[in-house]
Amino acid sequence: MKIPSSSTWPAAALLLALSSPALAADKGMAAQYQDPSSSGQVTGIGLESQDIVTVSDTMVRDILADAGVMKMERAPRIIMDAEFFKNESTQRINKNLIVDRLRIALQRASKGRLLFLSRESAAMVAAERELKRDGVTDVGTTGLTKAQAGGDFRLVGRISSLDARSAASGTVERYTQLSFELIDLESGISLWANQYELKKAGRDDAIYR
Amino acid sequence: MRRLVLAALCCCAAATGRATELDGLTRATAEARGRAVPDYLQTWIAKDREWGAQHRVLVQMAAGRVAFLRGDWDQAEALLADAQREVETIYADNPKAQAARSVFVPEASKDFKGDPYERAMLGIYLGLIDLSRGDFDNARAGFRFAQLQDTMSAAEQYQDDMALAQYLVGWSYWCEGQRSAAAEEFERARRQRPALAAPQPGDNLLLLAELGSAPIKFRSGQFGELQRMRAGPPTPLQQVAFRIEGADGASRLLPAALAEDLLFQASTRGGAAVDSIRAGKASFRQGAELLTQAGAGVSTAAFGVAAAGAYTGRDSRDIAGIGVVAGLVALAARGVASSSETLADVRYWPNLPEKIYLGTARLPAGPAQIDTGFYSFGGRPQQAIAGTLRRSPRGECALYIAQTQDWSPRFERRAAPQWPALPALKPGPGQTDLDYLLTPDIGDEGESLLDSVRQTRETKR
Repeated sequence: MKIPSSSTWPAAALLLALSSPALAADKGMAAQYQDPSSSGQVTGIGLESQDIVTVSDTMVRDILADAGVMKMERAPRIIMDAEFFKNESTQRINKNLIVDRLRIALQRASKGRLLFLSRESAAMVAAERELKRDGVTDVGTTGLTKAQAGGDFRLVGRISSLDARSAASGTVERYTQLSFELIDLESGISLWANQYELKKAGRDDAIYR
Repeated sequence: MRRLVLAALCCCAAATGRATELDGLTRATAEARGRAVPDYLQTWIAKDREWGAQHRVLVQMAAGRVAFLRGDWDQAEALLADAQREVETIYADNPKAQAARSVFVPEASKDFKGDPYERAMLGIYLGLIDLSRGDFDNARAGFRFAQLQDTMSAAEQYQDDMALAQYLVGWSYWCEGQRSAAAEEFERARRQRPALAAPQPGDNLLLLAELGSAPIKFRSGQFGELQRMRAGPPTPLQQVAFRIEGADGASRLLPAALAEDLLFQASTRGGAAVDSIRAGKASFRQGAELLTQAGAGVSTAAFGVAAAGAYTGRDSRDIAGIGVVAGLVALAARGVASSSETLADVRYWPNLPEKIYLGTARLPAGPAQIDTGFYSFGGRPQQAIAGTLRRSPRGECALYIAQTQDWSPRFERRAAPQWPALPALKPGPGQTDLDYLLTPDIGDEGESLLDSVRQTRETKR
């Protein structure tokens, strides 16, 4: 691997390098807590923690303000996981970061007016049900049900992006759109929908272009 | 577990604000699996400690590739994803980047972020890891990241011409059952490389084979200011076929198509902004050297005239003074010239392949044995190796990858005798007959003679 040896640097360059602020970055930084909603030190043009916080907070507020969702006679059962939340952007992302935050915030804020089903846990639940029914364990304290709960609505959505790059200036841009919908699992009707958009642009130092 | 790794990565990244030290990164990944950091990564961890932040992405790329080759895809993902995050970070006001533009600071003092072909391969390998896990969304994001990097070529005809990335985007759609989107991408790939055929209905196995050595960056120009690309050590292996054997013993041979030539990708970037910085550094140095020569010339001439004046009895102190000043100017210019740093940054990802071949097939039901045969230009089998087969958790698709080992003609002739020959290639652009590198076939008589010589030696011992 071609790695330059610092011993070959002329003294002037070495002095310049030693006096440059870059050295401060080389010293490292002790781990410290940071606000997830703040713009971090690592900034690119993709989705970052502050975007995830903002987008999930926006969606939670919108759902809580939606009479169609919140004013149902019986608390609707909602499946809210990443199964049908597609990433069609150019950025690898753990979609659970968005969906989990959305679900947990909604569950806490709705105080029982919305019920959430965990399809991720379906196999685990099925195994426990079998143990109870086989008499391996007792029936617990909350009683038995005929079957696992069925869902009324399910979250679907997608993350899409449009990238642009100027060959002349080296500027890169990314428009990212996050769309969310609650789909009625009987009729297919979309009960609620919203989207969040962001666009970021940046340009690397010319030494990288 | 994967979420734990990703969470650990996020924490490390947020804390340091730059690529994560290998020690902490590999330890967090290993601990998430309840294991120790594997021994094979210790060399890279030591290199990272020695070389520091400016080479960290390069070390992550190389170590990640080693982990990928060893099938340790959790470590590979952690290392390559962290490198990708650093590559994606915009270095707008980075002090090292600013300093590297100075004529007195080597370009290689900047943090390494790689050239477009190296960044693209980050996306390809991360996409393949996601593909093997059935995470087709993120796999596609990785392949699209690669496509995006490939748009950095200055010449329009070389922008977004990475057929491998296009084909893999298509394959990720194919595995999800989105056939029309897949067909569109396969067609785009075929336009770049006509040999890349779309999968047949029922195909659920993507076969990849890598061969050759990484493209090498080197310096040229009067002051080493130009960065150029050349091929790694030549290999006579220039064709690939896959052999798939099902549980019933039936086997089929599947010739592979060349999907990507990384040397081509590396060589077709064209004019970049950094080239003008390098040219500026070289121009500065050339100016300083010219001034050195001119000053030395004037100084020598002035002292000559002054000496002649002294001999003839004329007052020549002014002329001698000019000589002294010119000499001082020459010395100063020489000092400046020798302090200038014109060498282009030629750090490169050393363990990439040169070429990537692919094919698709239907994975036989039950256990399957898949091998890869590497062939010469003339179509003779030279090397046969087993690869790695990974089925996605839900069984939609499977991924098979094989990489050439160090090429050895003696080893190969014994390893691949039963493989049928392939048609010889025709010389053309990107296709050169390198069969002269192969050891001549000595035939059965020669082998018998060699055996008798070996036996004689053993007896004497």
